[in-house]
Amino acid sequence: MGFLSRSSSGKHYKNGHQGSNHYQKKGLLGNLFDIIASRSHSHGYYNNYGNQNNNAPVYNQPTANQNMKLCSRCNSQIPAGSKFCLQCGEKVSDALFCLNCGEKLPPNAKFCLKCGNKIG
Amino acid sequence: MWLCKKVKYAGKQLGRYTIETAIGEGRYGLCFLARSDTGQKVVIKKFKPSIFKKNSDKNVYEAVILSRFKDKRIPELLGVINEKGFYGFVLEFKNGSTVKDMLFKHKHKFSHEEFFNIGIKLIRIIKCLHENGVVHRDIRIPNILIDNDEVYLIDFGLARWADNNQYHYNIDFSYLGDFLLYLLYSSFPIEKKHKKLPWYKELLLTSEQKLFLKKLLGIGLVYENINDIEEDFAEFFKS
Repeated sequence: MGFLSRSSSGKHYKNGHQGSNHYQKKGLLGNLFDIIASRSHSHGYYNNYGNQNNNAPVYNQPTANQNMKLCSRCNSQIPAGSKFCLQCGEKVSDALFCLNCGEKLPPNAKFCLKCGNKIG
Repeated sequence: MWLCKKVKYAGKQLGRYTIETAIGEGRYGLCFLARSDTGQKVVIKKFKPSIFKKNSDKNVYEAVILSRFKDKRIPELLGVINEKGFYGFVLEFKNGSTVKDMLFKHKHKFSHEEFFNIGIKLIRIIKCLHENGVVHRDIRIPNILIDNDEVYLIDFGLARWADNNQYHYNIDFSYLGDFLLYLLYSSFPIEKKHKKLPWYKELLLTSEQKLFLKKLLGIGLVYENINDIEEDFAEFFKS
């Protein structure tokens, strides 16, 4: 794994040892470089280069099917967390309702104002 | 070619937005300055049809990640446009110049105070992203906007939820190191014939500053988290 990481990071344009030759030039070649660099991001240069940092916090990101909503206008699936339907642009209602009594909740509410149920 | 694109879309009406001019181009497609029916300036990021079809699941990340934030230092997602073959995101307009333009168009030389102000503010933006589990992956001079003392981070096209593998936080650390070197080199005398020396042999830096940048770039030691970076930057670069 270590070997693979090293060999893949070696392909990338930034090696950390550049100087004025690199940082003071930004002509046509520089722009071209940007595009190539952007396209090659998926390799993740210097990724885990001697740093297997497995303690970094990783959050539970919304996955494809988790809380997937259907758009009220076009019926397309809206990815969890998106403020808009990515098909028709319809705004997703951000109103929340209490799971206990169904009361509409104000944004960032910690407790339901009707039944006192703890939110989140 | 660029002029053709500028002319083609100028004045085009898309829902409640009217395109004024093209302001940028990238791997994703084109970026326009537009105005809403209420006169609000916005940015419309139009995706190339090929990009959107091919990577539709990947493009979702930008919308979902931007939906999560309401922070004045990053552009807010204001809407999605999908009409007559035009697919794009409506984003909040941020005033300012990109660091790339400041360096290479306006030949701006960043003072130490400016360097420190931009550095610490950018680190705090990255800290906010990392605290929310997001890795930006594209912290480069065209994606940082400066407006007087304010610093903005734009273009979340490559942003992803962090993991311990492909999308590790240290990608941002490395890009941050590279970005800071661009700022430092702005006041480095330009030589006609560039010598091929690395930055740590050219720039006048303290040993602590050199170690800080080397750690960002993954030379020898590495940083574990953005909090340590913030702390060290404040300590080693404050004049």
